[in-house]
Amino acid sequence: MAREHLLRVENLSMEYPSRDGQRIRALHNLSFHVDEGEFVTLLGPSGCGKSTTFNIIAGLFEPTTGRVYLRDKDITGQTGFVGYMFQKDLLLPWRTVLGNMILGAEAQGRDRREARKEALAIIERLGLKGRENAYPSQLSGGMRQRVAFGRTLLYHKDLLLLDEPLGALDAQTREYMQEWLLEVWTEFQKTVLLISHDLDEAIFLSDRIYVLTKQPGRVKAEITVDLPRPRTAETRLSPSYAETRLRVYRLIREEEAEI
Amino acid sequence: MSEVTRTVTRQTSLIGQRFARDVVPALALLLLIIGGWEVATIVLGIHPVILPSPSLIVQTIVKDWGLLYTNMLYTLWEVLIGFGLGFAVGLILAILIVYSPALERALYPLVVASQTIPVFAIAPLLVIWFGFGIWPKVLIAALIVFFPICVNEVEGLRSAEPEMIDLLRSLSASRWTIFRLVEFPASIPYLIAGTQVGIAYSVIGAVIGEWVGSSRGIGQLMLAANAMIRTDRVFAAIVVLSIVALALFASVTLLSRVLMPWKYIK
Repeated sequence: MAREHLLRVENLSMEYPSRDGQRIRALHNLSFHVDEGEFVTLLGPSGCGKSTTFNIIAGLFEPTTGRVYLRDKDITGQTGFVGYMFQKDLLLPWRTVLGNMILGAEAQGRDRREARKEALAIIERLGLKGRENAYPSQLSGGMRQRVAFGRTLLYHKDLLLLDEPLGALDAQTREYMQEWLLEVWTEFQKTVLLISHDLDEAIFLSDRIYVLTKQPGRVKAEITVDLPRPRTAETRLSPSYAETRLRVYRLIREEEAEI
Repeated sequence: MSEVTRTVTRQTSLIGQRFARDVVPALALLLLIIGGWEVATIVLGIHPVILPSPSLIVQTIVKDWGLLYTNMLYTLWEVLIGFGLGFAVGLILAILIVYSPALERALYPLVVASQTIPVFAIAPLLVIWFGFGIWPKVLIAALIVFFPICVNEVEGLRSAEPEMIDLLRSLSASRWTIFRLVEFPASIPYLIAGTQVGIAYSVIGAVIGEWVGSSRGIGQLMLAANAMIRTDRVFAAIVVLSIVALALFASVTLLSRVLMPWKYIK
């Protein structure tokens, strides 16, 4: 009846045995969706199974129950359908910026020379011009994340899963990188599903936010962020931003009070 | 292409700077010791059979050069073939150990046990089995070399970050692709560290083999010179052997700079 979602996650549950033999429930009936071109954030405290959710969507884990659909195609437990960007930048120290960017293309068995050309074409728009042949050890944390994001773009996947990619950066670099992320997201017209535990990051970047509960992770609330785009540094100062922030903030406090 | 050239040029200038800082003090100390040795033999009147002076050793090297050179080449062959064999076996064993838990349980104890047997004890057996030719020496060198290569490479292949492997798995990369793109390259620094140890050991291995039974080689030359009380020639052989070992070690170091420019970048 409704138009198909790009990603649909249905009733995902994940249980695994802990070291002392008890069963840990990481996720319980988690359901949400992401539409084409959207920027959606899963916002929740650490330990609410966000990374587990990503590992399931990426096909690395098989969920205990529940299904994952990409454009109505069941991809549960199957790899190769989404672009997964990890918390760590995971750049290979022996490869240059360019070499790291084409890693995914090589892993997919695509032509190296083609991939290099493609990487060179986007390197300027990623803000990496002149650093093509630098090694990761010569780059700052922000630069390294740009390379990691560029590598993820070159996987040629419509949906990007970003697992707290800016989590390790200092506060200032982080705000700056959020603006950068919005720019490249607009430019490359990808769909993004982001994991974050940072309220401001979630509001500033997202079209919609799913607030998750603590263990086991479930959707506590879905919030649509109406802030106009393009968003800039000033967006953070607008009244409607403050209003949204208060709404989400209350939900999170509520969740914390329950523990 | 130009990228490689630039890297090599940068490496070369770096080596120049390092030379002044690291090599000059070592060289000065060496010259001091040699000088003291020379003076001591003259002042104390030590007989050349007991301890030949450095100048006599140099003279012997010049005079016996033909003899030293042919035997050195023979030993070098033993070393290189033995090292190559040990390297290949060590590398293959490491890959088997890392990728098969069953083989790890079967192989690792044997690998470690092999190092508890003194090489001197096996050497005569190898001569009995393989004769006086090149093979016993090659095998002894290989037996010593494979161990540091294998142990280092096992650690190296396991050094890749698990998330990195997950990343490639999320792209449906095959086991072989993960090995080729991540695990093996990550192990190269470990492999080179093993090679540096192994190449020095392989020289010792070859010489031990020659001592036990050989008709050629630097080790055999040393034994023969010893029997003739030609102490100067024993020392000449030691000098040539040291130079060979140092040259081999230096080649590995140079190779590591070419293979891992990223390690030496500031």
